[in-house]
Amino acid sequence: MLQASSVTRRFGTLTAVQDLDLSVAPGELFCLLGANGAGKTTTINLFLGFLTPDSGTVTVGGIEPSVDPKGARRQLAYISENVALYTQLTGLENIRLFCQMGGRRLDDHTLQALLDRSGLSPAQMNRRVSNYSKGMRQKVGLAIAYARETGALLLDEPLSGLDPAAASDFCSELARLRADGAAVLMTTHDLFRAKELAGTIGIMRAGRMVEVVDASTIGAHDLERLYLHHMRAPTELGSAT
Amino acid sequence: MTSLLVRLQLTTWRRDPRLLGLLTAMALLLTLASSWATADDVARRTAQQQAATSARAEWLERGADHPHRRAHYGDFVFRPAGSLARLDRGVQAQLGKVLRIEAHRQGTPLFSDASQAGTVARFARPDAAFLLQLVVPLLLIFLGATGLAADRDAGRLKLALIQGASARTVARGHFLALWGLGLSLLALVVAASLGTSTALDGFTTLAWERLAGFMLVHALFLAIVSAAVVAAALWARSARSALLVLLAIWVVATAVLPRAMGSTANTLYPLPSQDAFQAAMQASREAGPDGHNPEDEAIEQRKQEVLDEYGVTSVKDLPIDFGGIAMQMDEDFGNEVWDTHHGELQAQFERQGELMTLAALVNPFQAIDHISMAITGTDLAHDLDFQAQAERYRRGLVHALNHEHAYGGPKERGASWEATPDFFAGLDAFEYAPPRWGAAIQHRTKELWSLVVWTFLALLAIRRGAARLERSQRPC
Amino acid sequence: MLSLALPFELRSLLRNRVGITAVLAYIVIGSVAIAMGARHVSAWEHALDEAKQAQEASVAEASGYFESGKPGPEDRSWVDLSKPRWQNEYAATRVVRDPGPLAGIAAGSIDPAPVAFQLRSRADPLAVAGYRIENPEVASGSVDLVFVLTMLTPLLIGVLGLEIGGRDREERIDRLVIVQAGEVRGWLVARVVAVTTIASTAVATVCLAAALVGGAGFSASATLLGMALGYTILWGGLLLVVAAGAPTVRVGAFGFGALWTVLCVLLPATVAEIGVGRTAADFAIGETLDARAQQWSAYDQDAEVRVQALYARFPELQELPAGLEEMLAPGLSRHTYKASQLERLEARHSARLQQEADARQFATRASWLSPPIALTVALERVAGVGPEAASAYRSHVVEAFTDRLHWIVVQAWTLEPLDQGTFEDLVAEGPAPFRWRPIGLASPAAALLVWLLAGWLFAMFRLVRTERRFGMGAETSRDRSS
Repeated sequence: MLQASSVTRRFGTLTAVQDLDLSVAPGELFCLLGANGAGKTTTINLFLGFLTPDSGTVTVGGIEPSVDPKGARRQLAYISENVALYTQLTGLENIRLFCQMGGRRLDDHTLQALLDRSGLSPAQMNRRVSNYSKGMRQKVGLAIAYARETGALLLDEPLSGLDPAAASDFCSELARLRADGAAVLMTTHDLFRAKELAGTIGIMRAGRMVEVVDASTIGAHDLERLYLHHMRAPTELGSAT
Repeated sequence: MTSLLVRLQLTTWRRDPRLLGLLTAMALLLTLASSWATADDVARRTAQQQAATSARAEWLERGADHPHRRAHYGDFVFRPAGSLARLDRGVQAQLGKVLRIEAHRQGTPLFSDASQAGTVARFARPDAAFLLQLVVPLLLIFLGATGLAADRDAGRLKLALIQGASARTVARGHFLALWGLGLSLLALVVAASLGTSTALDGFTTLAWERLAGFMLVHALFLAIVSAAVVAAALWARSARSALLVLLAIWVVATAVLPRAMGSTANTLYPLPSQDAFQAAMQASREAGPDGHNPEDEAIEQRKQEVLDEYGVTSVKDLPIDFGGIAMQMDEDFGNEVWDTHHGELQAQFERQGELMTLAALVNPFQAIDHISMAITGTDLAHDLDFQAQAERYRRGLVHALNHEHAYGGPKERGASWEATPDFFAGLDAFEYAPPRWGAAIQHRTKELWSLVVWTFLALLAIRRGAARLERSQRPC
Repeated sequence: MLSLALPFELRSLLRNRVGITAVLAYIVIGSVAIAMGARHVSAWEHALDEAKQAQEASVAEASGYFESGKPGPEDRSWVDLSKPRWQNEYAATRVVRDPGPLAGIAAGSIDPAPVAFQLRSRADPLAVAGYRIENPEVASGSVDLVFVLTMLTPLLIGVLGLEIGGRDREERIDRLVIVQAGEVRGWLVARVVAVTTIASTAVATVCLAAALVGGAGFSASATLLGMALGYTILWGGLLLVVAAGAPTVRVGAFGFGALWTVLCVLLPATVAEIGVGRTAADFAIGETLDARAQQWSAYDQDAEVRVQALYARFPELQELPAGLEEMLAPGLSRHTYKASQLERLEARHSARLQQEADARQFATRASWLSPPIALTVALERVAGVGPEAASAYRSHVVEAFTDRLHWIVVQAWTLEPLDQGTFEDLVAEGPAPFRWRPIGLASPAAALLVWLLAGWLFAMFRLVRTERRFGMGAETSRDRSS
């Protein structure tokens, strides 16, 4: 569903992503780990079509975002580190607006059900987003992603800043999505959540994918050791987010 | 610490290419506007002097003349520019530039710049005062909101406080940086004007004490603006809201409030139409003696008194020309009528002015406008003073002519008698003496106090805001 | 997208105290401006009523003399209503200037002409002030609809659309928009269109209210509405220019504020500086010293020269009884000055017209420089208030004055005493009231249209360029530097 083949992306003299190969099949959750500037967000942006690769190919359901960004995005849902919403609207109004933008006119009952599924109570969903915590925003973002009913989900550090309970709820929902057959590409710094959620874990460093491991074959402490090993190794390249 | 913060702020402005570009553009704009307005003022003064010289030459060239004929030939008074109009033109463009001086009639000056320039005269002109009072505050608002307020948003202020700087010191540093910038622009304006003056007329017409006053009150005004900007940055929730609040205040204080108060003043204290004023004058005038009407009762009565006084029975036997006395009677009554009606008009002007002064107490933008116009000699008070002096000149001139008409010349003169050219040459030309600048701003003391109080309030707001910040009552 | 953006912006407006206050303030200030305009028109009409009453009183006084068989008032033995000069004086004919239905919208304009001018034989139609006596410190601050539309409409649009683009980028909402809608351009354009629609509703409300209060017809109302809405849409385009590239709300606010300051304050001020500066050194020598010199030199002319000049101007006088006589009849000498009086008047008027034509041309050219100038020029021309309307009225007065002097001279040359019938005819056949017909609207309207198209085209170009530079519009300089 999500495919990157020998992708390189530079910003001037800085190489953000180099020779990246990555594949996420439907029903698979691929976690990207890496320090700040490792190239994780750049990878997400390449799939979203916000950036075009200097070389190599990125495809979403067989469509290159750089060639047909709208076509590629139709197959994607996206949740960022900070889900940005219109604060003057309520959670329900936000999801309605963004669904309509995506060409989906869902009735309020369906929208409420989506918000409910993402863990937002009816009282919360009718409050203005300006009064929301970060976790509540992430839940609205997740509901928007549900509503898209796309085959692929891109998550850019979605757990960052969430309290443990909210993070736990969020992970449960992700597991459900994955079980429903979505291809999920997620970036995170949380090794333990990655181990818990992902089928495949990729470790990026200075734009390169330095390690890809099957999550089921490695313990949490081994994953941490492996991660720190790669992070502490001498570097040759510059870095990007 | 304060000087360190000021230097830091200056460095920030210097190193940001957008801000540097903005400051450079502002400096160029101020220099250009100030120089242009000064050159315009010099040209205006020269033209005014030439016009006055021509009028005097024509007066003298007529040579011998009958005094009353000369009273109708009259004179023209050309309005001189305000003492420091090169820095603030005030309401000069709306005022007539030429006043006809003639027997039996008073009037208002005609041919204002605004009436001659077409639709574009509706807009304000960019002299130094306009830029210092409207545009420079806008610049200070923007710099303040992107300086201290942004520092607060970004957490840099919190860092500074944690490092041991007091909020008051930080605020003082920002205030001094903003005020220093404002003062530099003020100095630039004055320097540009003085430079242009030197090149064009060598300071001959510059009123130094007024210049000092102009700089002083503008320095005070810029202190208010700088302090208000810093205070808003301290009190507002974010840089965005500080910017919005300050911009809203700027729009209301510079564009909406003065106009709203002007309209209110016109509504509460309406002025008569020109027609109504003239009709009322004419109606009052018709109730008194008419010097040109030999059958006028009052004139007849006076004639009898004069005949009795000289012990004769006919005007032909009088050693004087009664016509001159009749004309002066007419003139005296006309002056009373003018004083009554024009006095009422002036009283209405004053009521309107008092309302505008009240508005200036709550709006420092209006206060500085009023004071600046008073100092530069371009406000309504100076206009009324000019008109009063011109009217005194008219009365003196016509009185002298009527006196010559009545008592000048030989006893046996005939109808074709004419006074000598020397007599007319001996009558002084009009010379306007502007009021001393202390007297000029005397009626603006309320506005001056307003500026002082506003400065105090704005500095107090900084102090309170800083204290509040230190007590962490506001998020930073 | 517009069907989404409009309810979105309306909801945002209703939940935004600043926005709703701005709309209400705009409508309130607009209403005040309309009320001020209505007051201005009412004062104008009152001045006309007073002029009419004064004329009626004078006519009634003369009719009384005719009916009692007296030549005039007892205490003025020289007044003789059988003479054309005195018939004219007592007819007290006023050339009146009717306010147009939209006169109130430009109440703050500088209008240097009266609303009624009495055709006295020795009057000077050019040496008159505006009909209002103004306190210059107060007059320069009038609120009229022209001010509200030109200066406050852009601010209203700015306040309503301040966050468009800048906030989306600052908070990265645009990324979600892009993922959902495929691109962000349509959403931004739709939001600006929605904001422009909301602002246009407020603008249309005050314009229609002004038209209703003034009793304007369809054509005048449509012109006002068209100009005002065109200007609003134009500023919508300029808002989009800013929104297209603003990385943050603060930069957007500064950009829009700078645009407003330049277009609404600095450029009009610069144009005023040049326009008014051209007259600063003009102390009207031609109309004062030179005119007086010519007037008094005419007094010194030989009577024969003056008569010949009069016949040259009005050849038909030579065919009338006084013209057929060898010697000029007694009492006619005073009329021989009228040829030179008219000649001087026409020369001064011609110079004044030239000056006014220059000023008009300058204003028209300046319209291309800045939309507020274009709208001000257009609205003054629609309203029939301001220097251009004053100039047209003055020409109308000069024409009526010339006709009246001609009538006096012709009547004098008949050598027949005039009766009450002639007086009544003179009163009845006064000049038609002056009614301004809007002219010269094409150029400012074209300027507004060009600005409107240029603004929107440039905004679209800027949006496309932003997308090209930063992928699909989501990547900002922050992405590139991080």
